[in-house]
Amino acid sequence: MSNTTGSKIVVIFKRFERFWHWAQALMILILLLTGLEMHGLFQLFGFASAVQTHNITGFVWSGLLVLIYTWILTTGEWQQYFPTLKGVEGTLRFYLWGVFKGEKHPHHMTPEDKFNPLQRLGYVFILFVLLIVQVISGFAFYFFADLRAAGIIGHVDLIAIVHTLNAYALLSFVVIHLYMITFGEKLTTHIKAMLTGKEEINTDKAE
Amino acid sequence: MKYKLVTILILSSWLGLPPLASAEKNQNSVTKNANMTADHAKFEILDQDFDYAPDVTEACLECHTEAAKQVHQTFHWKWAEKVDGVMVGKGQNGFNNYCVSARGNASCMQCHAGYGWRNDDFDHAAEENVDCLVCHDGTGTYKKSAATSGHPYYEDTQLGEFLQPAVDLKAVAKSVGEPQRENCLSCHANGGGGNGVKHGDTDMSLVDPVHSLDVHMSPEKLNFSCQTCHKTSGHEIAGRYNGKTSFIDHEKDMGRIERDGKNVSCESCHGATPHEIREIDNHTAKVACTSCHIPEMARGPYLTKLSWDWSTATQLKDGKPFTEEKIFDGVEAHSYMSNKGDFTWGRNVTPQYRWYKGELKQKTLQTVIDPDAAPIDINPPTGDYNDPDARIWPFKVHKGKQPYDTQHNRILPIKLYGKQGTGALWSEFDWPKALTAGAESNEVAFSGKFDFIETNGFWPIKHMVAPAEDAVKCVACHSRDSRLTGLNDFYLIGRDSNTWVEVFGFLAVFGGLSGVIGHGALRYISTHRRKNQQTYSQGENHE
Repeated sequence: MSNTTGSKIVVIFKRFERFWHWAQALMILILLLTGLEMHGLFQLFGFASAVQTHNITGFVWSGLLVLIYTWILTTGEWQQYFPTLKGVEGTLRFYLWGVFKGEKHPHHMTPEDKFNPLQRLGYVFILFVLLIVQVISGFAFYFFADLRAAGIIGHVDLIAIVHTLNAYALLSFVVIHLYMITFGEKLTTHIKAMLTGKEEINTDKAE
Repeated sequence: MKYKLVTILILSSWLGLPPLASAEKNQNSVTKNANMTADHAKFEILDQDFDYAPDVTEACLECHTEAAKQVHQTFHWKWAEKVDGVMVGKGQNGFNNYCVSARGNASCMQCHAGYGWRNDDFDHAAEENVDCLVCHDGTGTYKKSAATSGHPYYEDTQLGEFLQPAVDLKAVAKSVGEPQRENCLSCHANGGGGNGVKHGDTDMSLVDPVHSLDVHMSPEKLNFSCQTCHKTSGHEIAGRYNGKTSFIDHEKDMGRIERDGKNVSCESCHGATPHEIREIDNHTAKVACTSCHIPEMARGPYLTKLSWDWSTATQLKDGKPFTEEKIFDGVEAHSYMSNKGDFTWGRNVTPQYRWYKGELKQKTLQTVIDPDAAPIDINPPTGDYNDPDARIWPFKVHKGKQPYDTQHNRILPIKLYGKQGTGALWSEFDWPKALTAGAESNEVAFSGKFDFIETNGFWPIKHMVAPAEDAVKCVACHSRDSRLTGLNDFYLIGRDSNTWVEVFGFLAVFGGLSGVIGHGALRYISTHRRKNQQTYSQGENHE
């Protein structure tokens, strides 16, 4: 059913998009490592360095997030994150069943519709809920002493709980994400796309 | 050699000899105190062959007409203060878990800044009873005797193996000047029966501390005297006492007159946010400077006493008292004495941490205790996380086991020092007699029934501030194995976690991981199977 006449190479991930993806990946890795060290799970950088690295990275990352959101909102990319339930069932069925039978992915990637319905749900939640909560709770953490002095909040426990819960959720996402990117045409197709921006897509309109 | 010295020091001091002294001695007091305008060696009135110390006091008062009246108003003289309607202090009602009570034990009074407080007949209003010399002696030869409740040794006296020479009062009188560290430490380092016993942060090593032991007092740099922080004004000396908190707030003094003579804190000079790192400054609203900057107690060569169990005292061998020694942290010290019981000691000891706002709630001999609540906190610090005045402070918690009245549920004072027939424990080794006599001299009831109860004595740690690079590391508190274990009224990063969050995290991360691994394995197997099938059915279809 596949044939070469119906495919072409297009830019799926724009240059800035690739930049923010990898910059964010690096920073989330650093934030997770230093954050979990501060949480007392292991010793790696030393507590003081972990705190300082975490704080600096956190600020840089929240600056980057402002750019990311601006980019997403101003380029119309936000439409890609608009969640829909249509096709979710088919995508789920593929991951739980079809993939073992050698079926093709039901979603056809195009520059205008690069996420499958499951990704839309996942990314809209991660990008517009988890990350925002994480940044806000991170700021509350950083300014806790000032907030306490101002009488706004007495204890740090709630902030810590939200921030840690979110961090675990993000770590879980990283684990699953690293696996899900192997679902391209070849195992490395998607990661190549995120590096070069280019992917070969099927141009057949009809299914 | 050093160990032996320490043993002698410990032994000697309860015999009435403020230890460490003074072979090397001192130049003229004026050169020593460059800001003094008088050389007392040139004063005619001091050029007498005194044979009685109160006579020296009278000579002092000829010029310093108000000095004794001033001293009479101080803690150094009164040894008790009215707190919540009750007199409390060494002189009255107060107790600890070392020798329990000073009152009635004439030997304890050797450290009173007066002459001859043997019993309640002592005249606190007599000006000549003030001991000027113990604080102002510049020769280092002036020692107060236990046997005479604070008079100097008027004759050569054999103290164990040590011969204490008679005092030369003329030389001492001519040497007077501003108090030196040796003067303060002769009592304050030797309380509780010997060098370093009590405080954990105050011992004879502060006479000449290396920089790593005490950044403020070390002659290598700042060379502070005791009075640099414990500011004096008309013989009143800044310091914590019953009814007087150790610090008034956490502000810089900035030379404000109303703060003269008031107690100082680290912040008086350094301010509350002296670090150049915001994350560290953020601690100071809740963590005292001392908690990080005094990483261990007793960091000098001397031990501090960590526990004292009176219940094992009075054991005799062949009818005679005996002692046992052990090595504690590299230094030999008594582990058992028939007259005192069992001890443990330590050096470089990690403090315990409590909320504290400069105030200790001292229980008294009148306080009814709940024996089921043992160990009894004798003088617990006050405050908690929500108290803006409280900080987390390091403490030496001295563990005691001491007699109490099982009928009245009150701590019992002990008659320790005295001749045969007085009931003194150290002469007769008889608990009922010693407790009866102790109760009598402290004017408390004793039912005749007693037992021993565990107690905690709290000693705030504030001396022996270490260089910044030796400060306590973050992970010492911010870890599962935290120094602050037990202080549970707040969430501490690195130490604390929420069980539900951890369960969620575990399931999300490891659940995700095992899901991914399982899915990947199935994918691998099914792909291989399909490939194999394709190989078998080669020819009709390809790739």
